[in-house]
Amino acid sequence: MLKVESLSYRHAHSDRLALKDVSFSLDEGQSMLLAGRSGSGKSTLLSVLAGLVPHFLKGALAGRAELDGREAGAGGVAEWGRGARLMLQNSEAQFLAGTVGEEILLTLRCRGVIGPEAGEIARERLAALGLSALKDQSVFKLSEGQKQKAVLAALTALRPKLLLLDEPSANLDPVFLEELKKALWRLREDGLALIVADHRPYWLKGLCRKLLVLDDGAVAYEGQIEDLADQERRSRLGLRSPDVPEKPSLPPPSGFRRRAPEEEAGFNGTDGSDQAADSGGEIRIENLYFNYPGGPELFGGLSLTLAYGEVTALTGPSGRGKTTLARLLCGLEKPARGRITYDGQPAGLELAQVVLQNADHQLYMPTVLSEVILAVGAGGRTPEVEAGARELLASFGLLGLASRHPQSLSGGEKQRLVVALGLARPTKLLALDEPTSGLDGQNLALMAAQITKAAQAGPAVLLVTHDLELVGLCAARHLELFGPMT
Amino acid sequence: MSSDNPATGAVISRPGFFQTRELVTIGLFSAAAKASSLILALAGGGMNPLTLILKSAVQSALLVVLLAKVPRTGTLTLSNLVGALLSFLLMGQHVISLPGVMAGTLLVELLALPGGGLARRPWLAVPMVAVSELVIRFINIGVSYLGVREQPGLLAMVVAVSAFGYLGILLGLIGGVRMTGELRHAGLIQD
Amino acid sequence: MRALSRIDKYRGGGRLILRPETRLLLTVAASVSSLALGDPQALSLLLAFSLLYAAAETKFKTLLLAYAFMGLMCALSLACVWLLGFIFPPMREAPLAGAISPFIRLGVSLNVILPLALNSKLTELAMALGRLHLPGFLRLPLMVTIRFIPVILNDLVQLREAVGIRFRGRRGFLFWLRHPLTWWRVFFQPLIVRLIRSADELAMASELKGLEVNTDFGSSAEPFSPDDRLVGLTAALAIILSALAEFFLSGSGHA
Repeated sequence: MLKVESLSYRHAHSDRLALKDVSFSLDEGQSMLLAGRSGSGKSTLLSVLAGLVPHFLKGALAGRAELDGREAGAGGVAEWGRGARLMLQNSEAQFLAGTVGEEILLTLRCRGVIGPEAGEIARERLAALGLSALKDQSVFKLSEGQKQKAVLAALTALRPKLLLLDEPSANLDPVFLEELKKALWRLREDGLALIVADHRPYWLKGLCRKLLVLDDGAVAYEGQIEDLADQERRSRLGLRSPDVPEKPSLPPPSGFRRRAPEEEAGFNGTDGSDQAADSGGEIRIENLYFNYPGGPELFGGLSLTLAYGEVTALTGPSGRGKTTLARLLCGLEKPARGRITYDGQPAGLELAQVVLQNADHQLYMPTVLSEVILAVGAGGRTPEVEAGARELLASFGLLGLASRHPQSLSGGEKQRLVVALGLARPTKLLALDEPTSGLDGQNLALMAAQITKAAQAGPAVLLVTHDLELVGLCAARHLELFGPMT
Repeated sequence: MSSDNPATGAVISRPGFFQTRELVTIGLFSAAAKASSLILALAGGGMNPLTLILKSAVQSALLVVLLAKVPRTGTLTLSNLVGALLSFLLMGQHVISLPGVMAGTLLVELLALPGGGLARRPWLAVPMVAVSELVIRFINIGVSYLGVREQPGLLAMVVAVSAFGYLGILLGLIGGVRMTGELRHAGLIQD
Repeated sequence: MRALSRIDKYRGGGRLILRPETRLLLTVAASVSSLALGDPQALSLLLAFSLLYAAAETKFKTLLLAYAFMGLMCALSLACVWLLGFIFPPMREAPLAGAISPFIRLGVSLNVILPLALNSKLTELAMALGRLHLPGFLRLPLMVTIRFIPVILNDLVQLREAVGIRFRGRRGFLFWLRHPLTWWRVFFQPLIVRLIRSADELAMASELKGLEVNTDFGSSAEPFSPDDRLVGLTAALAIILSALAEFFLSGSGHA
């Protein structure tokens, strides 16, 4: 059905090939994991297959990509999109209408399907993806997982033959990933071919059989997803593990205790969770309760201690208060009841460093080096400060990018940079919110090593993450939150 | 010169009608202008001179960047029209001055046309924004005069507000030009 | 799918069930009429009708607060006139009574703007736009603008927080007042970058969707409600009565 032969592509204004002689094929109902390091050409290949080249993205294209005998992009982006649909990483950008139902109707209207027929299709798609109850829900009130499913419902409304997904797992928790997997499974059963470009292979096991690995724009490996079990192959190709434990077998933070029953408080502290609250750690949460205005009460009287020099992972489904707990620890929110202290002092931003999820909001300067210098040296640019900044960049593999504009970096590079900025100044607590969502295997290992090293230097490190592979690589303790939705 | 960002699918300028991608960009920049002015008004109070200056500075800087991103005749007029319609939709403002404002902005765009307009001379964005904002302020003062014609002294407040706003516009032009240069360096806007 | 265009979606916070189009038309009609009228008595008639509308659509406390704010603005304006009188003596000679018409106009505007601003949700306005048969080149950016204002507002709030974290210990109004260029850089640059990226992604998604400049967004609506008709007729009556008052009273009303 899909045939790609000797496909090469060079972006306009660029000297190097983004895709080099890529060939593969895919049959109806088949699914394939497209893997590779950051910047290896995965998204570019998806763009070509989605028909964006040459109508939307300019550049030089050679070779062929055909879907049922029609060349990619034939008839324009919109016309080609009847057969092949692309789900972008940023689901927010794919909504134009105000509600889930309106979005599906708008997608159908763009294809000339209106009236009762459109209503019928929309109803069917909403039901198929378990979204019927959300049809009048405002886009602003959807969780990330719900948004992705709604986008999927709209994309598949007119039954395309090929669905392309770009990093669908980047912002999803394991629960939503499982739901997404089930939805994709059903689509595949209906004969849809799938190509999923993703850094995390573990959730695609059972869904995708084929594996295509790109490296520097060329096919570096073609085989089956099970082949990723070979660690040597994985590290050579810079890929992540296909086997991630469902729950890390790590002890909870010392002094972990909650007043409400476990189910009510929404914690899973694995074994030994009811230790006394007065262990030797220095950052202490005591009898914590919190709620946003109009929201449910969270944390149910949580008590725990975060030890300096130790990495604690905080996991759990989206919207259950993980980020809120990190914000409370850093003094960005105030507890409704209970207290948080650092060596007896109340929590505050001057004692903690928090690296937020959105890297774009944390980069301001014209070069990567000046960005780090701003973070390292409150007193300005001195030779010592600059040397320190360069050393920090080198430890994150970013020294070669020192003169680049921070906003010109790739997503993974920006993630590494903002974590480096978080480590620039001494702190008692370093809270990292999803620091590895866009990282490949090689950079994940680098990030894990740096987080471990940072903890060894003194501060307590709190990892807020869905990335269980990262937890396995660097966390010493683990706490899972599954309470009410914030 | 028209631009085309291959990495991100940026706007391509071609003669003729607006394309979907260009209209989407204009819409997003208008949303940013409105959102930032709402935030600034909430933070500093709507009539505070500093707020007035900042709001206008952000607005004109956004316009300069927008004109670098969508360098075609009509972008400025359409952007102003969307902004004015939005003010009307949300706050019922400027409905009377709307036709005059549009005519004034379009005139500025037409004056910039000989020699290829923005597509050939990107630097025209600065005088275009500066002049069109001046025209808009004069027209608004004119319409305000109709409202206070019985006591023209009341126009003093309107004139003061307009003057602070225009000072912000001029400052924003400098900021917008610098930012456009930096965005080109970052590869987000290409020559 | 009928549920997608139920009439209750047009019910904002007001007590009347009005479509956004009605509120928009009322605002235009009131603004034009108040500018055309000059006689204080005719304008007062219009003010009375518009006040009835505002009272029906706005909470009493909100209305009171808005009027208090308007009063403050009027006092400030009069103070300006008084001060200007020292520089331009002829201004002091202008009769203060002449100031009443501008303030009545301001009151009329306030009465129609409040219900529009407080009771219309952005999504409702976007749907109303879809029904106004605007040309595609205008409808599409307007839809995008309305759709993305809340997204950008949320972004700006997050940005403020990120800046607060990065510049902890150096926060506060005075710090930014002393470093305006830093303020500009840290707030404006991330906003612009986010905009450009979002614009590219949204444009890409729109084209993949098959959205064209002239795509009809197709929001259907139930017919105008009895409240719409009642308010529309009352507004027409108010404007006719005010115009008649202007015609018959203008000789004694204003110069």
